Amino acid sequence: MMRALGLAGMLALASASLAAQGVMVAPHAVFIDHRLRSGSVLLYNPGTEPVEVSISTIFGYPTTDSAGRITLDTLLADSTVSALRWIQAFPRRLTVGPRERQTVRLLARPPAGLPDGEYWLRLVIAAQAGRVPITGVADTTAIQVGLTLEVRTIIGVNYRKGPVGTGVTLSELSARIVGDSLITRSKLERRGNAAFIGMIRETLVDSTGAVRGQRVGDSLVTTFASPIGVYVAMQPRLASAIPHPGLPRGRYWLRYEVVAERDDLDPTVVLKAPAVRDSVQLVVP
Amino acid sequence: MALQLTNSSTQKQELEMRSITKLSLVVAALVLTGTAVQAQTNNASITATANVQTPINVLGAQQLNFGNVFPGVNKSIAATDLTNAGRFDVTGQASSPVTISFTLPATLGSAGNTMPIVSYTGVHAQNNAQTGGTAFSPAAGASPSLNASGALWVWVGAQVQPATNQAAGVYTGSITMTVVY
Repeated sequence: MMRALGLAGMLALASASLAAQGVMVAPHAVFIDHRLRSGSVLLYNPGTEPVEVSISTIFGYPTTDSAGRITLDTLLADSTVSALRWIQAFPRRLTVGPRERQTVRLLARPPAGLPDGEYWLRLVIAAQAGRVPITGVADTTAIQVGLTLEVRTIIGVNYRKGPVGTGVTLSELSARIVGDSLITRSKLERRGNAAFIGMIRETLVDSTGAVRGQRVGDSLVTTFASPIGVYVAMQPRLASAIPHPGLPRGRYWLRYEVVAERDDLDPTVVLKAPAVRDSVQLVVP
Repeated sequence: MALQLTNSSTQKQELEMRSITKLSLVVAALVLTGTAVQAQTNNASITATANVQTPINVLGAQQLNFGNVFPGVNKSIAATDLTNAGRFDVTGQASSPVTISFTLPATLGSAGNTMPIVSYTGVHAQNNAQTGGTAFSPAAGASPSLNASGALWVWVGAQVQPATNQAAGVYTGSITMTVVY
């Protein structure tokens, strides 16, 4: 249901923003098998003007800062898992016409003797529209100001050679109510030789075991779910809202689980791993 | 899912065809909201299976519009100005955390002349009315999440500072928003 709503929402947005500029990128994560050594990304321009696109690659993977915000760490000391030197994207520059699609291909030339495992890079898709129209009526000052909007989308590319496995450990779970928000933190550490791609699910239950709803944007959900990719380790901070008028006094439990499931990715690329769970008590005074 | 096929020119025969087709085509992905589409004719039917690949879409949706400015008169557009603030629209997987950062020009140019642009402000929200939106500094970036429908809106405002002797012209620059998915 959520997936259908999401797709419907994207369709509505895509339709509503035909005058806007940018490119749609699919898939949003690329997985390349060593036996095939190639992958592709589709670019679609939903707009009415051509979009100039440039493609580049960088090495990095998501981690978290001290506040739990997810960031892309590109200043990595350990680059043994980098595929930056031997995966290339073609073409590097292209123009995507209005309502047209084009394919960017990724070709891998891994070094001989590459050990089994997973190797990473990030694909940077920079899209620049033509000059935006500059509005304003002509007047004697004749000083007009216009700003071009450019967007860069960075997605992950994971190259897998030989047997790969993954898992995750969960520790240091905490939860608190701040204002009308439920804030959680946890420590996630990857196991195995491949990134853990999955979901975090949070369910809030009261002392009777009844599930309390959480608000995400304008939607009310019984379980808050957030996609997660644990490449090495991270301590993500998640926030969801408690619906008005808030929680009555009492004790609550937050059930927290991390599962290797993703409905936005091809199931064959999501590595299986045991789910990990924990729960923590919350007291609303 | 497989459909039965009937061939009228020969004995009734059941055939099963499975065609696993990975469609990266976003349009198709949007149309084929299920995982399978059935095709059936008078004498043949096949199963077509499409893997839906959730795209990410980052759009520069609305320019940061200062309109006309006057020499010596600073002009500000607040990020909360829904009409004139620059707006980026992001769509993708529901509730996905994303990292957004900006490359912001310090000056705008026109035929060798420049005009300072300063005091950037930003708001991101899970609805296009900014209800419950979060203010942030574009220079520092932010780490919001897409909403339950997979959408996020980001607004940017700034101030231009034309000099008293600012030369006439069309002053332009680029704001780049980077989304890490």
